[in-house]
Amino acid sequence: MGNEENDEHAEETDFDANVELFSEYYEGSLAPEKAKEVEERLASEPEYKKAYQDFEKTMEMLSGMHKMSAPMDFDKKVEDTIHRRSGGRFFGKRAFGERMPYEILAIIVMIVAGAVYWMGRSSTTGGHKLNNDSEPDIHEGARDVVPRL
Amino acid sequence: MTRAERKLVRRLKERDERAFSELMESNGDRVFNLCFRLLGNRQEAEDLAQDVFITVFKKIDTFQGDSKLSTWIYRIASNLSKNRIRYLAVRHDRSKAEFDETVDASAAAAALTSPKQAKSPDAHVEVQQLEGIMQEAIAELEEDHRILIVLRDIEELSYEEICEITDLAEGTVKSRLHRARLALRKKMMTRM
Repeated sequence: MGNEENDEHAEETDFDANVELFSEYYEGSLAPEKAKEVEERLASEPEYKKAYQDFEKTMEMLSGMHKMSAPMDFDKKVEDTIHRRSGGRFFGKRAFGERMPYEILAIIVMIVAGAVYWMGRSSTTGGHKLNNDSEPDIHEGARDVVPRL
Repeated sequence: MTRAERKLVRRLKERDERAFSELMESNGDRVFNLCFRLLGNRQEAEDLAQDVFITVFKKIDTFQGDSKLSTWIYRIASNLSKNRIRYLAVRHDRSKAEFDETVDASAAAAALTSPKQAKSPDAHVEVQQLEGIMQEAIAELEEDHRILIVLRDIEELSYEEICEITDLAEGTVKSRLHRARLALRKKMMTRM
């Protein structure tokens, strides 16, 4: 009885040891003589062949598993978490132009320029607006040579 | 590390918010996928992926540039996932009831367009079911086995990268990976 168990165990160990070669055989990294040994067994032993086919199928299923994509808002969640945990101190200070989209920045610049121009035109003190209603100051002595408008 | 990557790291160390956005854009999906395959649950994966990036941002000053930036990020993800797996195991949160088998429409479409997958509606359903079964089987693997399977067979990283991520010798990675694959094969065979 004990001998039978030992024989069975020896057979199992031998079988497992050869099954261990499956990985390297599958990856093509097995030494040529060992690979030949595996091929001979695959050709002559149905049980061994079945074990290898199962192994091969498992490997193909593994490599065929599709790649999962991160959720759409994943980046934002991570960024928000970092901002929250660091109180906004984690990332370096950015220039105003980096924080503000350029389109909005351009609109703000145009509005400010327009406002400055309007203020300049409407100012009563030192404005750029030409006042055609009032006559220019002419020195008394030059009145006879400056033509009247 | 490429020149562009070095530049990105420099900007990250300067706390340039745009650099962080770029990093998220280029690595967000990969890290999320890794987390999802390790935990098997969308919400847990999202939480873990968030923690990964927050840790990356916190620790970016310690990144020496000895490896690729993505490898370093995977290393952080791998370490954090171990803690999360243990935490979830204690919380008994790996019950089948909470297992997220849902595959969103875009993901299902991606599965269908894969050359390895059939394209009929029946095959579509079968692909989803098989993927769900596979995900369950992965979630039952030991933590180390699970990480190796995901890194090598799903993320398709090189042994060199896996060694850097796990801090294991190549021989150890290979032998553990063999065992992980065999364990997974057994689990799959009992389910099918």
